[in-house]
Amino acid sequence: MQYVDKTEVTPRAETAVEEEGRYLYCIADAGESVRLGEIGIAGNEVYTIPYKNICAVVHNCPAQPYQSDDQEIVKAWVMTHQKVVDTAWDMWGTVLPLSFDTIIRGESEGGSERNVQDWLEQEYQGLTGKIEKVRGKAEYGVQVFWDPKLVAQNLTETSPEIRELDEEIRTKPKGLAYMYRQRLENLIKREIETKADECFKDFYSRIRKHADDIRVEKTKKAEQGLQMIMNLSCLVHRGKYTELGEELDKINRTEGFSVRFTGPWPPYSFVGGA
Amino acid sequence: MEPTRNSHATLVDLLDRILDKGLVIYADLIISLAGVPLIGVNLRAALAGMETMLNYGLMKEWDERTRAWESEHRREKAMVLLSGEEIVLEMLGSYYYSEGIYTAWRMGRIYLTDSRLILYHPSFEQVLFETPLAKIKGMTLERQARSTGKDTENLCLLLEAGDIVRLHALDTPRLEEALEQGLTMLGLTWQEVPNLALHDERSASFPGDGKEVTCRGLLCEEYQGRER
Repeated sequence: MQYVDKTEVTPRAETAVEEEGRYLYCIADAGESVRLGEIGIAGNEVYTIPYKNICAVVHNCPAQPYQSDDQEIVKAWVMTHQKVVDTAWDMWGTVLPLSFDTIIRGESEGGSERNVQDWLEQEYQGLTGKIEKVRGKAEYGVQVFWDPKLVAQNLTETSPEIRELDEEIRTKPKGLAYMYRQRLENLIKREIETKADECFKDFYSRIRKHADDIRVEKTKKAEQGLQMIMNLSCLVHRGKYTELGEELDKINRTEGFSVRFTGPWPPYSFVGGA
Repeated sequence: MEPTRNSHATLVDLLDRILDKGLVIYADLIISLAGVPLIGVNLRAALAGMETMLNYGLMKEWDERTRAWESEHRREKAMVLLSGEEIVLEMLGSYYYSEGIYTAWRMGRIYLTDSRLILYHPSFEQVLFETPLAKIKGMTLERQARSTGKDTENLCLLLEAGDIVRLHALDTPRLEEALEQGLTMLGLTWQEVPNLALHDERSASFPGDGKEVTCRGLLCEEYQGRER
């Protein structure tokens, strides 16, 4: 399915004092002044503002954030943002992507183009440091899921404590059995968490070996009765994911576990922070 | 296993990155992005309940715990040790920092290695204080009364250059013991210097019997037995 950005070029207000801004897509590892064509959000022309050996990939826009209640429009904007970042990434090999809707305003003399240049100059060291860190690398998403029912079932079979309690319940009168069942559920929950903890540490150390850097993200709600026990972003040399893929294969083949492997993404998770 | 990046199946993965992450610009020249998180939440909610940011039920606590474990794990790595240097003891602690009229207890993790004593702030990834063990010339355990009624113990160190350093740790006596053992093992000598503790104590203590405090501007002074 393709998301086509059919939104119109943002109309300029008639007033002469309209403040201009520059929408930032990414910082690229090249000191070139290039026009990339009308590939930007709402069909705007995308070009670069260079400083020394780096450049900002931008388009001109009013100094207002892109906002809409129409989800299709927002979706199209987000996909367009990503396409522009991808284009720059393919072109120059290394980019520092910005999040959606980052716009530099142009209050000072010389307007926002000047502001972008000044900012590149001020932040030059930090930016080039980050470029070095992610040079030639891509981000890969790794999510590990398990089937909690299957895990609980296995625990009931293997944990003597749980099995004992489970058997005891059968001999109890109804009211008491209810309380016992509560106890059993708590016990299983605790055991499951302990197990998840063990799996996390085991998988983490195995995956860590094949990545230059790792970010642990919040786990999310999963579908089809599965549970996400691990959500990672891994920084790996672009295209050199074979070893990581093999390790994930091993985890994926373990009974009850499944793995989602996504990417390559521009290194969004590794360029934030100071 | 091959990674996938099909624009439909991985839309949420993309959104997670593009809306919440990326290069952060700390500058006044960025226009207000107040509306943006809202866009993100709406958009996600629209994606057929694939996720809600706040709902992760059973695993919530566990998830926080594992992530805490991981960040702790990372932090410990973040402090740079010299090659061959080994950590002997590690505990939470603080050190009394004073510069001009500014004084404060700075919190961090105390690391006693086989060659240095370091106070490291993990979140700021900053070494707050460090000294080679060889430069420690004297030490004493000082006892200080706290307003809570409990005594607290500080470890005072006299350094080669004549500086006095005051440390407080979760278990200060244990730190002192380990430090003494470390120095002994390295064949270093030091002195027990009991009067270290008297240095600059005034501002930290309550006035004793028959004393009162008068204030003049920012300066506090103690007077002995002064009568009105």
